[in-house]
Amino acid sequence: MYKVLIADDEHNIRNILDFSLHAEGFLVVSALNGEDAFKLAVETSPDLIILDVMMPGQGGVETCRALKGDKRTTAIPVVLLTALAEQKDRTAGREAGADAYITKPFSPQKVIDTVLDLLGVPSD
Amino acid sequence: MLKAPAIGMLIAPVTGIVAAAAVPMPVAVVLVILTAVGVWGAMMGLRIMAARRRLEVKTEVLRGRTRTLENILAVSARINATRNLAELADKLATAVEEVTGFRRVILYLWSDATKAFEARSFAGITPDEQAHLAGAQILPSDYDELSREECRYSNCYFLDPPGTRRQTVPCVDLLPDSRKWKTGQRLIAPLASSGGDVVGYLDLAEPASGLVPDPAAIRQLEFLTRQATTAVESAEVYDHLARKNADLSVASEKLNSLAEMKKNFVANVSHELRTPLTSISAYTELLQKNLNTLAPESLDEFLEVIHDESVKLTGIINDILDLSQMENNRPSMKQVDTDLVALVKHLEDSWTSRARKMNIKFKLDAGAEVIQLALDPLLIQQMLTHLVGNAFKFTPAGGQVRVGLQETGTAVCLTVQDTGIGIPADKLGDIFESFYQVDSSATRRHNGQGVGLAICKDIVVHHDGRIWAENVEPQGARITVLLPRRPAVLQPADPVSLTSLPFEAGEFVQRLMHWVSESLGIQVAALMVPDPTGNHLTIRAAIGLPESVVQSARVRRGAGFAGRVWESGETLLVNDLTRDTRFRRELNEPRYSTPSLLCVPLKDGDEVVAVISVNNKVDRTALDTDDMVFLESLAPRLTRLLTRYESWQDGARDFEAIRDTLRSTTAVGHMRHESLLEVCQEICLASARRVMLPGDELEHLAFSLQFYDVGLDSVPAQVLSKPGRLNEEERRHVEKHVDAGLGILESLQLNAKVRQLILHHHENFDGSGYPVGLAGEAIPLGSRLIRLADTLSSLLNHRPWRPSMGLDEAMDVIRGGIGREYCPRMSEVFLDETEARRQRIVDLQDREGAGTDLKRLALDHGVPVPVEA
Repeated sequence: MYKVLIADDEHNIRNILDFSLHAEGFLVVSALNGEDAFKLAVETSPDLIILDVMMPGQGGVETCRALKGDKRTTAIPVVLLTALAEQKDRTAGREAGADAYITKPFSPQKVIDTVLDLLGVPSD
Repeated sequence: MLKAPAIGMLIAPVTGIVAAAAVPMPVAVVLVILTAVGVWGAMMGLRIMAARRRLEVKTEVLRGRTRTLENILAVSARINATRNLAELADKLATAVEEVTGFRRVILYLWSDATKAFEARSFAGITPDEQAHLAGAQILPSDYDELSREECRYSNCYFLDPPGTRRQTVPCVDLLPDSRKWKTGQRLIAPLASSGGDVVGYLDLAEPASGLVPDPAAIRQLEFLTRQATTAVESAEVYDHLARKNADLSVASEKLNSLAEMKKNFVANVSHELRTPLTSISAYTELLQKNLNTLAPESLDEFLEVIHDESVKLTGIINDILDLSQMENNRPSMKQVDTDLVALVKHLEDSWTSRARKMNIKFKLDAGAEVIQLALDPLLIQQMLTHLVGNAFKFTPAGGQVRVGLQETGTAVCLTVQDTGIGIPADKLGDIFESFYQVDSSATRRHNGQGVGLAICKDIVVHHDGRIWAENVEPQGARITVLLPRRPAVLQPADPVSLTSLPFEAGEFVQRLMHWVSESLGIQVAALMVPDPTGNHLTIRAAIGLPESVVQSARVRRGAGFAGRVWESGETLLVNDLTRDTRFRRELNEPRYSTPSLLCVPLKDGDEVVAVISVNNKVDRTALDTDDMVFLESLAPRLTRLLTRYESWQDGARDFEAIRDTLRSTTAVGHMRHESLLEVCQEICLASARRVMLPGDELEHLAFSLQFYDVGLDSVPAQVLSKPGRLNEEERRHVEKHVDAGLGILESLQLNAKVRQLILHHHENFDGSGYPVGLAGEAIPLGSRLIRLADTLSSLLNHRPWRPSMGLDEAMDVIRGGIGREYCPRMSEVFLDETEARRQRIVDLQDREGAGTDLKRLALDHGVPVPVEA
């Protein structure tokens, strides 16, 4: 069973992700901010991480950079989730090593598709 | 049969909640239907189909509105970043075409050179046609023809195709089928400044949809034209500055940071909008996909989220539109006597229940049973909702939100305090700016925060109050609002000789009266104007007089004090009515707490256009020659303002400036009639007389002494109240107050002498002062005296960074600075005059204690700070 770590300070967004991922049979671990996400990533070794960009404290881009810079977590695919739609924000995400970038508002199906794609699971 | 009432009972509370939250009806309908669905299983399938369709539509509408708004904001940022008028014009036409979907766009801008509107840029217009249009001049009379009242919808005008016999009423409210756009039809959208000047207009035609825009689209179009107006105005200012070869680097720095802030604003607003939208659309999708498998509780939960987030999103959209409205078109205030305690208590229930839901403690400390105040209850309620809502947002579960209300002498102090994460120190001064938002650095996020606080500030400023934010120990933020408590200005029900103007005459006169009474420190004032017959004076406005007197008083020419002043055109100062043989018989008036009176004519040339009469000083002393000199220095300005107001034609923007000036000079916290300050001013004027300053210069000095520091208003409150030493940047902030003050007073048409006096009041005798660095005798004599009076009053009073000083200590400080900060010759005279008033100063200090703070966030007895450890 795949394990996905999600980090978003917005309760509703966490619920949406949690619900959708559960429905696909994933195990979900969640964090409310970047610092906790990093800690949980090291402790639980998830198969994939979804980070919100705008979080209090350490944001998603920084957290992504930290994850990619740490040899324990560098191999885990990271998806960034954000309301920022500008090109330069995408670039910042890519430079931090993110594997995919989803802008809000998003479709839960799109998130699932992206996750399956990154994990190499053929979607049906 | 039993089911119906059961459902009714269930629906009723839901409807109640929905109505209370002021949700748009479609959401309410959807919710009611869907809640019923959850209960009434048998009908589930059918209803859900309907609800689903509605939800889809609703989500799509919200999505569409958000997208358009984002689009407009992005466009606004782009056009606001453009300073070159020609370039701006080009961008505007394209932007309008892009955002509003009109395929033909012509932008006309007013030209001062030709006194006409000229077509400046185009979208969707053929080159031939452009050449033709560009040559044409639209005269004001032509424009009047385009903007006829009967064609108006909101602030736009719909023009029927040429040759149409009769103008039809704009049909924006109709259904799409009846809103077909006719060939040749045009839509005129004026670019009107806040003052009502039309700087240009858009001539639009051929909407891509083929339909007349609906009310929402018109609202969006007007939002865009307001942004465009601001952009055009700033570009014009910039053009003007460039031509005048003014300090370009300063101007461009200012504009650049403005553009930067606008950009942040767009990013932040975009974030604010998209977060709730994400929940709405994602939950809707989940709902649709999992309808058959969802447990009823989950269904309820999903619906609740969709509902809550719709409310939130609608709120944010409205906030943004409101803010733009307020920034561009400040409404006249409707001040009525209101009990602030009752107003707050009225909202208490909703806060308490919200607190319970969020597991937060809520406490209200109303310092009194009743606090009566002249204010606009709707605006104040809006402000309270924002401030307390914010506090809740920032407070984690288990925390506390407190609202405090306290009377403090001349002000009412309202505090909203939370135990949240506080405000980053470097953002404290900025959070009330409309383009700004603390979380632009992605360190924290909460919905609508930046916009909400900007609205609050606007409301507070409208009430001549102050608002500031600070962090509190051990944790949390506190917002403090000070509202002035002052006597109401009474005006006759049917005032004489004021024409109808773009601004309400009542508010203007009210501000003038506050200006006089607060700068002079008096309790009773009456402004009297001749009635149409020219035989009597009637009261135009008054403070501290009974309503019946205001409504009916008539003074014959030559009779009474005011009548004599009207006849003679000379100022009348009566020091002691009981001893003055001229007036003994007129002293049976109960409203004199002191037997002195001052009555000054307002003259336009030789004609006395009004008489202003004051008595009863707040500190219960008699009116003296200093007061006379000061009121006489105000008189020509009052005259000019009143006569200009009466013949107001073109200066709507000037009026805004004057309103701001009056507001700044009377804003709560200045306490210009505070006794110690007044003694210092008296010493200053006495010194000036000793060194034989001529009469007119004495008047300039009296005026400057009252207003030299109004610029402190522009210094961030947290700098002014900082307990420690100021750092370099903070010092620069403070030093800018001199320029800012002159800027504020500019609309009063200061003469060169007054401007000099104020400009140099912080120069040091050895040349080390600011803003110019003048030294020695080059500093105007009056400025040197103001410097001394300012220092003395400051030293005698408590400051956040040091306690108040005794008189001897203060005089030693001045002696120690002679030759460095202070002029030796003036210091000698000044200290001598100070010595002569030793006993009064000592008594006043004893009486007032050390709690007085003149310039800072001045309250008579300090801000009450109800913080619990």
